[in-house]
Amino acid sequence: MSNSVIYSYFGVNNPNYAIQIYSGNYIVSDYGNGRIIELDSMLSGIIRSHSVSGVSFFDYSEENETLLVSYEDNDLIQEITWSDIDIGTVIWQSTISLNSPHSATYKQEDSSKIVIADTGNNRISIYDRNNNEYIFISRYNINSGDVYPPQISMLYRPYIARQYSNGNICIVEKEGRPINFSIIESSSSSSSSSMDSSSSSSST
Amino acid sequence: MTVSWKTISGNLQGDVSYSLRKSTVTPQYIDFDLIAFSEMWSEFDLAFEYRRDDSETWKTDAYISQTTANYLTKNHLYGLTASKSGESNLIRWEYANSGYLFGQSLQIRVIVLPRIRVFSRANSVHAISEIYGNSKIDFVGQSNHNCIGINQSGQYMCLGGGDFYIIDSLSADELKSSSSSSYEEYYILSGSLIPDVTGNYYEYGVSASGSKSYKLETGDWYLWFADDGMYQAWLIHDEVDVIHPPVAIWYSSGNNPDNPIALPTFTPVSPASGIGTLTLGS
Repeated sequence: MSNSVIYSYFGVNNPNYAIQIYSGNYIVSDYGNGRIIELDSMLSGIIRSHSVSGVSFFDYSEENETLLVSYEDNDLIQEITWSDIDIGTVIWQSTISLNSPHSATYKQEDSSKIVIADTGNNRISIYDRNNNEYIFISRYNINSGDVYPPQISMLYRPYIARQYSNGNICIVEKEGRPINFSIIESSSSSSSSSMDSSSSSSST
Repeated sequence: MTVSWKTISGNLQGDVSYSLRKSTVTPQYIDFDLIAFSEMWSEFDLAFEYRRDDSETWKTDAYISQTTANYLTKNHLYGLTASKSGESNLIRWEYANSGYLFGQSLQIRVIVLPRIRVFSRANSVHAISEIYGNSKIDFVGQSNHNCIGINQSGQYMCLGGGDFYIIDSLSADELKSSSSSSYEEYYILSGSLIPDVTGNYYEYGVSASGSKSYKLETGDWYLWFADDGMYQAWLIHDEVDVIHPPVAIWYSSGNNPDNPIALPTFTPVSPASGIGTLTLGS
């Protein structure tokens, strides 16, 4: 195996995020130039471009050919078209008060559910477009269900959150934090949603 | 000690495919051979569940006595291996301990558990780690490249100040360096190599001691941006030692053809492997 750069594209200015989609193409947030671009799989040229500023993150729906764009600095999430037919038309946007939401993602295999990492509000917001409702999650169990009472931990600056098709949610928090397990609050009658298989990020 | 780090990006496990088949069967246990394939993950985790038939709920108390997984917690197996070509993993279930008899018909299933790959930064070093289970973290590696994800071929997607690029190793050669430069930036419009400026030289790849050079190929357009915002372009005419500057000149502001910026001096050096190599002198 070689030990080098495989492909590169130099026509961007301070790019801050990129994904590869099923076609092999890459969608890149060209932050400094105020646009989102789609590059071919060998990074030899731009296939699509859409002028937009302040993008922090996006997710792509292969099924609907839409981009779910997060604007962290503008406290906004938008869903825009991203296809051969149309690019950049806003077809949905968040209607709740968000605080520096870094990311929003589609639920796995179900783009009717949108999972927002509402970073500044220390919570996850899940929007269900089927009934136009939001669900908010700010804490989670840190032990298994056979330990009583359950130990609860609060979400702290969730950065990226994704929901699996089985409903489980994975969360990456923005910054490392020490956890002192001796002072974690416990609750015997939690009414908040709890999550299996969540993962808080701490590094000690 | 608490290490401060900042998350840059994260990937979720999503592309592990597997086949599960039974191998050895005894009155006490059954060995399953789980062959896993993935372009993006070398390790993954799963839960093993069983039941007698559809009338029962899935049970999670399987007694697994042997496995090639790194960790085993109840019915959760962590650190099973996967690769592009497939990796074999052993799961030995002592079904007799659950009260089942040899020859009895049973149902089993496995569920791939979440595993998160985190791309983060601590000071100036970029690190990659994988988070799984309730509290397990594996350190994958560190790099000077700002990696944010893995593509379909298992290569790393990286961000630079003015570029987006793909590398096949965390220790890949630096595509560009950031030493002081008298030039703003430049592109090769149709070439595949995009070197950076270091001082009065352009650098890419292997160069002789004391000489910094990079490769251009026939047909490459070389576009040079100056501090004052003007830029010029040259077409690389052949592979060895000829450059014809300039074939076109543009001005980003002022549009003043009477005030062209000075051309740098090019000093051709010997070609390597049939590809022209050149050094840009001061």
